[in-house]
Amino acid sequence: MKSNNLNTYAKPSVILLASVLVCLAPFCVSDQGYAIRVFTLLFLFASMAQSWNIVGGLANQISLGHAAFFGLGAYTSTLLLIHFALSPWLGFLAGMSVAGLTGALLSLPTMRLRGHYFALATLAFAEVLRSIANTWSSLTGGPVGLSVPFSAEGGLALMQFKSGVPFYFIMLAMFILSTFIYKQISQRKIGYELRALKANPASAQAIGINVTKTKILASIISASLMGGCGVLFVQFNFFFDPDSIFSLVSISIRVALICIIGGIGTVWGPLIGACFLLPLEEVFNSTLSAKGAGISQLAYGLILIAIILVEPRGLQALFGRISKKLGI
Amino acid sequence: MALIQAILDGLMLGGVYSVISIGLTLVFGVISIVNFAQAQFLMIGMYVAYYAWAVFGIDPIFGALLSFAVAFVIGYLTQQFLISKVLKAPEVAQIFLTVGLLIVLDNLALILFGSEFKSVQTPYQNESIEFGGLIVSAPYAISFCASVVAGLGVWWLLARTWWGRTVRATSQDRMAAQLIGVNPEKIYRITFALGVALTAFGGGIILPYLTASPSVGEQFGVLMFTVVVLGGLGNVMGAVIGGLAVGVIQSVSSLFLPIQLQNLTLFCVFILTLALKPEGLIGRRTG
Amino acid sequence: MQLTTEILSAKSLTRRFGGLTVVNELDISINKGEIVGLIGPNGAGKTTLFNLLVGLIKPSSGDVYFEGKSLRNYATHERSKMGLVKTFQNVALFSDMSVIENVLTGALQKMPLKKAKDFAYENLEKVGLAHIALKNAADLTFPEKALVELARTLCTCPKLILLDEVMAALNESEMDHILDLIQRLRNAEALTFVVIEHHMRAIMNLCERIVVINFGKKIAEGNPSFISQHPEVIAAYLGNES
Repeated sequence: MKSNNLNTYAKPSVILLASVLVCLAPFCVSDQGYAIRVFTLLFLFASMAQSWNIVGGLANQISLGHAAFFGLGAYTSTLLLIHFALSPWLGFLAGMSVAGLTGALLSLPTMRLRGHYFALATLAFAEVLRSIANTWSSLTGGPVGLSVPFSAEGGLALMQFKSGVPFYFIMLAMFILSTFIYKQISQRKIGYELRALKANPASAQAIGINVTKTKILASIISASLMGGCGVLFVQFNFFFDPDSIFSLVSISIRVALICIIGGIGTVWGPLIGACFLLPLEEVFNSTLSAKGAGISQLAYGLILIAIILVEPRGLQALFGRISKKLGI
Repeated sequence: MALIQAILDGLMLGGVYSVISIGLTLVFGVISIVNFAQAQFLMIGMYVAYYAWAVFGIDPIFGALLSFAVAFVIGYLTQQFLISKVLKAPEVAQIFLTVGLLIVLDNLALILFGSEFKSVQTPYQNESIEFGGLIVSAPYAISFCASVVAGLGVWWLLARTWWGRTVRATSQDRMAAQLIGVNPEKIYRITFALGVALTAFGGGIILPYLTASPSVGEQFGVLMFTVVVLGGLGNVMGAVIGGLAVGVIQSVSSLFLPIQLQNLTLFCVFILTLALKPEGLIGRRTG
Repeated sequence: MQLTTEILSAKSLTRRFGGLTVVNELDISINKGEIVGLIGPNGAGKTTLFNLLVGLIKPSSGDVYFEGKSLRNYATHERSKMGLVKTFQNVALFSDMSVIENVLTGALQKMPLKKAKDFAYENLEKVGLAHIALKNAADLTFPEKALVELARTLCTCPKLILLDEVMAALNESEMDHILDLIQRLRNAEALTFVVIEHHMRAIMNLCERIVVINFGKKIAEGNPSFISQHPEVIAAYLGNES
């Protein structure tokens, strides 16, 4: 364990500096431009990855279906807004509730599943929701999708703004919230219980851990946060459709990847992963999309395979190997 | 009567589902990984058969044989150079390797073939056979027959060949198999190759009544996984029965339920089986 | 003067696996404060009995009673909360946690975080391993692991501990240390122990009463000298003396 005097001063200073930069950043760029949109989405995806981290990192259940909760949140708040003029802020709570409840329900039949089976079940669930959303046109608008009703003046109550700055801070706040929750969970009883039941379920039970209850609780928290992110996303983006909001590749896999690449089961992994992956995707999209549909995604898939082949344990382990070699 | 018709249609479709899914279950039973990209090989099979028809005029049922061959080669190489590298790695790596493959294949298809739907015209596609008040559409019937032939072929392979016996031994007891000198990697290569080739073959034989597109993988993915889970992951006979069951469930539920709920029905079957009887309804010991 | 009160009992406990009857109409009774040994050849059903007692396996028939209450509808974690706990034959520590984190996980079942941390350290000291608190659980020797598991178990404030071969692969002095520890714990904390063990010397020195099982049935029961001369016991162990 490396701890020395320099470290004790370095850490808070770095955090302070980072916080200042993060708060100033949106004001240094055009408030409706490309850059601020990227930053905003960065914090959104980091939040999503953090919510995935609760189940994927602590309990080591690889979910490939988190888009289910994302989409549920999105549809809940938008439909409530459209039909009942419910404020998106309340819709945020509603979206979290629906997603959380669904998470609890889904965790029951998947309780004893591990590894590949669990991934499979979650993937199937999100796909089913996608197909239901596509076919239940009377409720969801079908494949055409839904739009959040646009209001010219915007305003806080409607969570719509002329400038890009408020949403930057909203997403930042969401990231802080989800990271805070993750940290709390990992440091408290439930965190220990999750790690225990990941390591040895029988032994965990033998010392009094209610494995079922713990898993359900973790699922609810993870799903709720993801649902909340869904609400924020559609308010930010205005338009969504079943194929994009429940997307296996663009949401479920991406979010899991961000967390894994940055460092699964670590507090800052999601942010690191987002900072790495999202700009990389942007670069791909801008350079390769012009060459044809599908090329940037292809590159994405190829890089994913390459990384796994080089270091199956992910980027953090890869960086670990590299820094060891460099003697850091 | 409509019910019987639906059951009949379901069985016809189900036969094909069986063939498509045998490969997936075989891979899991022997190699112990879920190939998340399996449905993409269905798509490959469809495209190969499509171009065999479009360029050379070969009927898709025979084109499917070409699909089989092409997929076999791709599968063999995939196992050799990709999958084998992660068999000892954490599950996360295994899952994401085949997920990455899924992404690569889907987008390669998009780039190479474009996103338009491609369909074939066969001389028999509008014909049907009638008996006892029931109608059997010719494409369905022909695909079903092709599936039966394929199924018998697989049975023969598993029951009568050296490879088949070794595969069965390996899937039952890996360590014992190694102790008697079986080289698992060779078995894995042939198994994976055969597994994806079967699915590709299935893609070829459904071309007469379905269209090829890069998104075909998505359509069939969940379905294949449902079949395999119902029958028990690793259980080939289970995949056959599971396929027929899923075909019938799909077909019958379309009589009673609005389309939104049909998929939900399938999913409920899937999830309930996973939850209550993970070893499948046929219930064999896991590999 | 000691009042003997029954704390744990099993009545006609049976467990079948397919065609094999692993535990066969077993009756056993444990009194508060006892240290009871459970011995028998390999495959006699000892660990299965433990698993039945804590509820990790359900019986095919028969019942388990703890402090007079039937445990039929109680899950393993609930039995643990009631005070009935067991350790695992191959030691089941949580391998990606440190020693203290392992022990803490047990303590957290009974008290809030702050108190749990202190309590965890206390129990780690009781087994003499406070000095390796920060070591990763996967890096320990087997005896160390067994002791950590014991400390973790102690943190759940148990009333009765089922110890499953906690002394495997120990040398003489390590064994003496654990024997001493178990007796001290029984005396100081009013604990009851049932101990599965293959080391005859350990069992004879530690236990006041020994139950012998073979093929899932009880074949003898009594104090150490009675057991060591019992013909059926000797026969069962023929060739298995360790």
